[in-house]
Amino acid sequence: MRVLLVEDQLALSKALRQGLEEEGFAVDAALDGEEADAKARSTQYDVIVLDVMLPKVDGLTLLKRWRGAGISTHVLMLTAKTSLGDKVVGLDTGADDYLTKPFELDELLARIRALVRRSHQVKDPVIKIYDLNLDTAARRVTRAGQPIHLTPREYALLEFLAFHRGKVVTRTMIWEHLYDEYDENTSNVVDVYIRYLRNKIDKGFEPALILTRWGEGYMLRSEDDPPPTKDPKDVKRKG
Amino acid sequence: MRSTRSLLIVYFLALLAFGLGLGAVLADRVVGEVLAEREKAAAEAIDLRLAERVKSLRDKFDGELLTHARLIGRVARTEYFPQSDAETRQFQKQLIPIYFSGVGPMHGLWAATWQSGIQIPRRGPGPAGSQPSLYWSLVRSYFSNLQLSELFLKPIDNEDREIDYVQINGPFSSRVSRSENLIAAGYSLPHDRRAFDHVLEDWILTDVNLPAGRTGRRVVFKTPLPLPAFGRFSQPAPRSGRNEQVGPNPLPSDPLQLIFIHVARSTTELERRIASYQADAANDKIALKDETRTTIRRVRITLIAIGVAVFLACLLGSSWLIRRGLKPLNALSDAVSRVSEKDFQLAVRREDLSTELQPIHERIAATLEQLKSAFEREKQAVADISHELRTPVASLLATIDVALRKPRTAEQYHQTLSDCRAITRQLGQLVEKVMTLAYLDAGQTKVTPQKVEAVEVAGTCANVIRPLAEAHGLSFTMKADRPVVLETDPDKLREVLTNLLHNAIEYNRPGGRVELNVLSDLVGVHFNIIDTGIGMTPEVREKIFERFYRADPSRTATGVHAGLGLAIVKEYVDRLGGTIDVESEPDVGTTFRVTLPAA
Repeated sequence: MRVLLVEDQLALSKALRQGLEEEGFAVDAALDGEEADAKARSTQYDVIVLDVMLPKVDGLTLLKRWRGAGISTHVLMLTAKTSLGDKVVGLDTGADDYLTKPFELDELLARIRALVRRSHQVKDPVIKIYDLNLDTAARRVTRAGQPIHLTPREYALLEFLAFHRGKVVTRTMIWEHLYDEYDENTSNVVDVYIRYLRNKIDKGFEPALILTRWGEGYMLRSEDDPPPTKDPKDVKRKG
Repeated sequence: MRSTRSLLIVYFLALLAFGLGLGAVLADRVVGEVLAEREKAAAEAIDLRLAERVKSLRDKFDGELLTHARLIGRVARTEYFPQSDAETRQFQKQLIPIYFSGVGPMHGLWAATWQSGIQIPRRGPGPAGSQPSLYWSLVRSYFSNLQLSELFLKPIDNEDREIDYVQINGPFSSRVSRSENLIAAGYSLPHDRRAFDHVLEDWILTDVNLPAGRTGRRVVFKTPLPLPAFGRFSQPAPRSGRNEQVGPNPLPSDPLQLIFIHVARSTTELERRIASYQADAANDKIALKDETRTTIRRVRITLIAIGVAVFLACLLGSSWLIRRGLKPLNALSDAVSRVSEKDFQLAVRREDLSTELQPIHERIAATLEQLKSAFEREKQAVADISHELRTPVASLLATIDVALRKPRTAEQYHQTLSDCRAITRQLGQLVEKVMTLAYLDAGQTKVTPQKVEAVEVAGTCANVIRPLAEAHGLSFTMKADRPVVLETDPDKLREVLTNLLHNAIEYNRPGGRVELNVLSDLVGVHFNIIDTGIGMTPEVREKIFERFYRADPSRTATGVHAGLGLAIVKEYVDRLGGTIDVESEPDVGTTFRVTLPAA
């Protein structure tokens, strides 16, 4: 999942970036309002973490602009102010969640995950597809009861596919959501990770969950899908 | 605690009691004086009336005496004396035997002569020769025959029922006749003919001693008696010399034929009546005094009653009045007591208060306004401080959280720790500034002035700043015209200059310039800190000395400027007795001018 981290405090930004990346998020950082505005408009982020007090353009103004421009990305506001009024103003302006400084990193991560789920209309943190169990809260994956160890990026890829299960996701989409601005755009990096993932969750299990749509992208099989032998176009229509 | 209300009531009532007392005393005095005056006038009237009554009594008494005397005179003239020649002759005839039997041969001769119409010539005013004695012998004998007791002794209109003493004297003071009561007492009233010499009237009233040691009043009435002369009634030789009257003269006109009628009466009864009048007057006066006393008493009682009534009315009225008077005060007090830290509004309108209370209202409202802004400033300060502290704490916590999520290499830990150290240093500096301001606010910052060389102090600051400026790619110059001695706290001054110079670097632009000029004139020593930085708009310039005010929040990203530096500078300059002002133009630069008074 790709996150835009808007925070002017260098130390905090650095720490959060590291923490988020280690959780498998692709993180773009912005140090002031203008930079954040530019990034939010050019990239479709899954979640934006937005500090209120920002140089140049403050967080609330930014949020207003984005909502006005139709950018509906879920926003988590960060602020040093605790008063109820600020929270109300923040939420009324269009923030989806609110966290006051100082905060626990775990809480921030949990709230970001929750926002990611919400952005994909998933309420239950545990996604079940056939015998695959994906616990997005604990970031644990089991297949037929067997725990599967995934690297953060592998997990992120699986999660992204799971959020879009039954739908085809293009390589570009995958790349955009899983890699940050500094990652090199090598076209086959997605295919490499898909192969890794297949080795871990489909190898030795039936049915195969990760499907390849040639010329389009990849798709995670949905429970509602007809048996894999059927024409994939029907599946697409259904989704 | 004494309440204003009871105090007012007590004062008011005391004043009222004093006023009423004074009024009552005055009224009493006035009434007393008026009454005394009235009493005096009434007493005078009584005296006057008494005198009048006494006088009228006496006059009446005297009048009665005189009337009596006149009556006797008239009766004597008209009833017992001949009124015509015929009567005279008759009278003479009657007298002859009396004469011969009573007075002797000589008289009888004289009488015969008189009978025969011998004219006895008269000379002078009085009876000549022995004629008068003869004449009066006749008169006396005549009077002896009069029924004096019947006629003359009868009291005339005499309420006293006193019997008057009557005596008749002849022209030569010889006693002619007396009333019986005089005869009985063997007393005759003294007679002095000469008393008439200086009297115009024909009567004289005098006090007189009466028989039996009584005192009385007497009138002596002088009246001519028309006794017929022995001879023809004819006019004596006319003095006018013409108009010889023919025929007898009906009345003799000889002045010698005067008799004096004494009428005396005891004044015992009169005195008794006068005494009774006097007693009446005395009683009247006593009654008057009593009445006055009663009136005074009644006036006093009325005064006291009115006073008590007024006092009671005021006792009730004052409590109401004072409650009413204190109403606006109560309203104000209510409004003040309703003021709380949440609501600094005074819940009463200024226009609703009396003019006396309006200044108080203004003061309270102004004070509340100050309190409110102070309170809000304080709240803002706390919020600002917590805000400023939260961000580094959040950084610290996040950094540590990330580090602890999984095992790290020694290098990573080292990196984390140095990050944490940097953050903690920021935090420390911030806390330092907040504490500095808190100490300044609490008045615990001591200024220890000493004689210092201003240029030297500025020089030390310049030495600290220069490397920093150069590191930022700025040129730094310091200028001073001449050494100047100041009496100030060098530490504070250094702090001020360093702070301002830090700002000048912080808010400068790459390739810019920072200057520190030390000038001195009569006013004092000026330290001018000039930069070629981003400058400020006038709105910003007004607020830069406020705490936690930052023209551009972006600077927090690079420094530890929580908006406290200039607030501290201002406080220090104030403490040093100096002034600070600032000139600035956006995108051109800023000049801070610190002026300290010369030593």
